[in-house]
Amino acid sequence: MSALPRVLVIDDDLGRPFKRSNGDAPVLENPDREAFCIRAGLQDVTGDIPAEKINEPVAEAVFLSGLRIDDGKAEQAVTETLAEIRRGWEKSPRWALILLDLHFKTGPLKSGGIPAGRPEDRDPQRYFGLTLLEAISKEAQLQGLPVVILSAMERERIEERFSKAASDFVDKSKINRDKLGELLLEHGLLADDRIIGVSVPMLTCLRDARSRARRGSDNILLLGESGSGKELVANYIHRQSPNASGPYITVFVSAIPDSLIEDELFGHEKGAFTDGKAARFGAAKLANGGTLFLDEFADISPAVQTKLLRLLDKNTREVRAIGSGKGEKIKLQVVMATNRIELLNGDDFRADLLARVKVNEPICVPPLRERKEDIRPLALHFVQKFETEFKAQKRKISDSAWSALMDHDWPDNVRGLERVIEQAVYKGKGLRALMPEHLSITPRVSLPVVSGRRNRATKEENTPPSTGASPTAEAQQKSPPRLKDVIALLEACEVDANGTDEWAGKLDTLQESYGLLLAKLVKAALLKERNFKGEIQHTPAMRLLAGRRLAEKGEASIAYSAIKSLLSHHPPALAEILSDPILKQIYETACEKRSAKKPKVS
Amino acid sequence: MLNEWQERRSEFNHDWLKNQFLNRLNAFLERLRSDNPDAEKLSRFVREHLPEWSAHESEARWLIDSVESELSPKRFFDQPPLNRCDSKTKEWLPTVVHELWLNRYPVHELREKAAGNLAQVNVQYAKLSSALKNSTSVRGGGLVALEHEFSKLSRLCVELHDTFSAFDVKIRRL
Repeated sequence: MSALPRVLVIDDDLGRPFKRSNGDAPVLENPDREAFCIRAGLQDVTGDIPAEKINEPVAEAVFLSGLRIDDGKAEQAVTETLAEIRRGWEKSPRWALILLDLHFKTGPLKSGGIPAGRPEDRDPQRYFGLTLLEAISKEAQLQGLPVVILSAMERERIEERFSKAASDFVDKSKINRDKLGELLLEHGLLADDRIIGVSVPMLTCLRDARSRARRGSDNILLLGESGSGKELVANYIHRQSPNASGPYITVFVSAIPDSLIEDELFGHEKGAFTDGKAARFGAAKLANGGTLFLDEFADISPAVQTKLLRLLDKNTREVRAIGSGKGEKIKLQVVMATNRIELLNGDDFRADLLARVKVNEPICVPPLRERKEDIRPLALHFVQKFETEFKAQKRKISDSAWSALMDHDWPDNVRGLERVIEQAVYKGKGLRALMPEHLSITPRVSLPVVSGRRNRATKEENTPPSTGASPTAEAQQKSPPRLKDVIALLEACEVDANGTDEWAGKLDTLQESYGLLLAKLVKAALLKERNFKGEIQHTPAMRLLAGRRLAEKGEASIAYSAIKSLLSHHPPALAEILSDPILKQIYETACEKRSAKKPKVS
Repeated sequence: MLNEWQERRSEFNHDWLKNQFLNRLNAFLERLRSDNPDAEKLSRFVREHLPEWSAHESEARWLIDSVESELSPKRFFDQPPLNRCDSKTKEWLPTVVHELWLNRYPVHELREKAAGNLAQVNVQYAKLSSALKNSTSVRGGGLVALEHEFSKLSRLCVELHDTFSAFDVKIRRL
């Protein structure tokens, strides 16, 4: 169960406590705040006055007056108020929403501690609420903080000033439980019971998801790295949509061969195939009234894209089973996920399909490295989960292990973190502390530098220095190029037929580099597809590398052949490649399994 | 900058009627409708907050009575630069300006509407006060039976507030 969302209310009337004599001992109270809390369903947690317990609160609230009292006068307190806002924003539980009043009365305090007010307080151009709003919007560290103006003052005259920085403008007297609930759903940063995530990027992603789910009939594209939790967000979209009580059907597009995907999505009529003895509903029809989730959507082939057009047209939403003469209209929302946005932008996709997918309005699921605040609750959850699953000893995570977890980049995202914790718990069931050495955090894949490369480097070192280091070279020194950049460079590479000095005699070098790159890819795939015991799984690794199943039958044997062939692409480099223990072991297993003579290692 | 009428309208209509009286009245109604109402809180509203209407009613009346003279652009003749007009001009021009303003701005209709709203609130308040005096107990059941009357008072106060809000925020320049 998630904690209640926390709202900050900045309002001079509601923010301050008043003294009331109650017999001998004066008590602090604020009847207007109490009334506001009752109406809005807010549990007051400010702590400055005794708070009434609210039945089934919508949110908890902290109240600030935005003023400071100096010498019996109330003055605007921008600095102090901003400091309070920052304090509740830096870490969880953070403000889900700020409700900000516009008009604050300042000046000498009258009886009862209420400021008399100054003429300029009522000048719309000088409303203190707008001053605060502008200060909030200028602070980089407060970006993303949703602010709703809580006032009924002359909105039109200040529209321009607040509309850029505020999420909404609501009449204070119209606030009730329903209205506050609506505001929170629309603008608030709300955690979810089933998704572990309290960081701003994750909460913002959930808010975007709620906003898109509101109609229940949209096509929604989820974009995020592998393992970042796209499937959970897709399910969240379903739960937050008006279709929540309808079916939720998932299709893993990449796991279904092209020849079967149409049948999987649209079903078939009896007799549509030779062995089609009975009619079968497709996933789209099964999802009627609910949500269809197409995972790894970018893997859909051009042939299938044409067939998706009518389904993804929100006006028709038509499905036609194989062998059927007529289409059937259905109502649903379609959520599509991919980690390969470049595919969607490329030539492989039909432009009309991309328009329907709304490729320009994706919901981005943030990678774990961009929401490190979530590593702690996620790690604690996984530790508890695997302790229960493996009947292991309860353990604490040591400070140094926390540091290791926080410092890692998590290229495999939450799935990678889960796997690391799973291994750590499995391998040390009896341990009471989780230490850094228990965490098999995979470093970036690199291979030993082969002699040829070293020679080339030495040669380059002997050449006269250029007049200035190129920015590209500097950047490459800082971080090695990514594979997609290398491929792009190779494709863009031009060879000048006249410049023989450049390319003559480079064939062997080129093959050697290519062989080393292939070995790096094999190693990366092997490391990624280790099971929770840390054992290497050859077939899934090769499947991952190929981006598809290798064959219907004999897939394992093809995987071994592939490993052997990839690693020995350039036999002279094999010795260097096999100095890597993981590759050596896998190469030997592959040779054994294929019962083939090992190529001669030079 | 606002003139005195607008200042007093803001204090009555926004600061008191809307932010205090209606806020507390509506919270009282929420409590009254809840399954297990807090009798002490209900009683305190009836004892301390509801009677505030009597104290503020005269302010509403002043606003209605003075709105025509206070919002009229003839007020510009009381301050620079128009106060430097010669006395002969001052005898007829402010009256003309005022008549022109009345032709263009429905101050009489708004004033009548506000007066009607105020009268309705007063009637409802008197009715409630009388019912509460005759009620043997303001606690629990006695108040629940009056929920409809309190709701009506809240609705009439909202109407009065909205009518006051409809008056200009500034003295109009013709």
